[in-house]
Amino acid sequence: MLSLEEVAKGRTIAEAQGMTAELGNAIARLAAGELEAGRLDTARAILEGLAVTNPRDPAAWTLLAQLLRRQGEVYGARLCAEAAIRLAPEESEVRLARAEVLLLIPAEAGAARDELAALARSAGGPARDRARTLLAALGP
Amino acid sequence: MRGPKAPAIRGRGGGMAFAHAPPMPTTSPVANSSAPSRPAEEAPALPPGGKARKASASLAAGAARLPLPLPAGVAGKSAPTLMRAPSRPAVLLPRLPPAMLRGYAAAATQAAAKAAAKTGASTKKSEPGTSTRGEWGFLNDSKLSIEDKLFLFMKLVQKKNDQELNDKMREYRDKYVDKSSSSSSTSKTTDKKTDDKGSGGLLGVLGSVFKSIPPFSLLSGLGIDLGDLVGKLLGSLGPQLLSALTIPLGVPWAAPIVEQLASKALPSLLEGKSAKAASTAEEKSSSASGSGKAGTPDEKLEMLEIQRLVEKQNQMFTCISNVLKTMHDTAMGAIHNMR
Repeated sequence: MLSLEEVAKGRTIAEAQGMTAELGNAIARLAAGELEAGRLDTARAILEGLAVTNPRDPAAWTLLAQLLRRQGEVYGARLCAEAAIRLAPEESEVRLARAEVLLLIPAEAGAARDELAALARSAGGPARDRARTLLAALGP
Repeated sequence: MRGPKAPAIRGRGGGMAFAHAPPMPTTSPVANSSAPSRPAEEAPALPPGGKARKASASLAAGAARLPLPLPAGVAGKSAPTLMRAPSRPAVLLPRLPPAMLRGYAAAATQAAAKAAAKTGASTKKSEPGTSTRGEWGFLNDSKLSIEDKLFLFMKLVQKKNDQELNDKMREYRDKYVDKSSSSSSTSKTTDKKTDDKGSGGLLGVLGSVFKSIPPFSLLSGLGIDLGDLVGKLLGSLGPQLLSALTIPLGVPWAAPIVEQLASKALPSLLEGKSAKAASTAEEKSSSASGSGKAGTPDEKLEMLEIQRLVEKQNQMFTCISNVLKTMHDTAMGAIHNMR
């Protein structure tokens, strides 16, 4: 049982329940699979559970941001993306997810473009590819 | 990459050839094996028109290979290409190794090692716990029955809770009751200010909590009503997720407050009541009872804290009562069996 005082000190339910990082990864992968398959409600249920269980896991917030973006909940997506970027500011996937959310907000389009450009230059792997694709699609 | 679809994602991106991207072989075995590449020729026919035509052709070719549906800003630019986006978009996961992830319990081996390291110290430390002296000494008294221990435990905890509740109420009285009585007698303008602060009800309080969190403080600087914004977020994310969000945003202390306030605010939000109407009703009732106005956010938080303490006491009573009832039932079962 986790008391409110412990929550206020930053202790997570995952720690209280003895949930390991490997298990968290597996759950995140499961949610990513559901999200990829288009079963958004299932993915949302899993991800909300994961985020509440361990709010310090950037994967949960990143996936939630992607999910909420797809569901058109811009404010929620932005907030989740901000949470994720604070936990893992260097992770290219997190930065990409945030940039994609920022693209939805007209006032933040410039920042999104800058982030995508930075990703296209520096990051490697699928995040760089997607950033380049998005930049190309956005045009000059 | 933690996602199971990592190779497929690479394969899809492998065939891209944009002006600022390094040339990549479109006939790469990875690209061919994982997902069929979409040649630029397959792009839908575009209207004629010089440079614009070329630009839209390259846009179409690029977007045809997009692993994700384009966001709204992009979608407006290339509507035909959206239809060509894959139906099963890839999802990217952060690639943090488990050792770098915080907030999870240590793996079994690490936990065992830690426990083994601690045993030496803990055995020494546990010695004082066996003494029958002190406030909690009765727990180690072998002469007492478990019922006696439970009774003593309840008595002690109750005493502590009463003390805590008393302190909280006294603190509330010192902070608000005395002040409000003096201020109401001196001027009405101060009261009006407090009313304004309290407008927005629980969502207003939540908004003021979120005001201390950096991204929201920027929004409040722009003149955005945080109460409304938090209301929208609450409707979309729910109280638990909203309170969990405070931890990565760097204000874990706000988590319990946000959860309590959000759980209380959600029903009225779902009922469709406007926050302002709720707050005015609340203020009317409080003024009618003459117990002073619980207008300011701090005051409401104090009241919630008192409420929490009372609930804690109730929970303790229920728990002890359940335990005693179970013990009694067990004993009675044994007696019945003997008959």
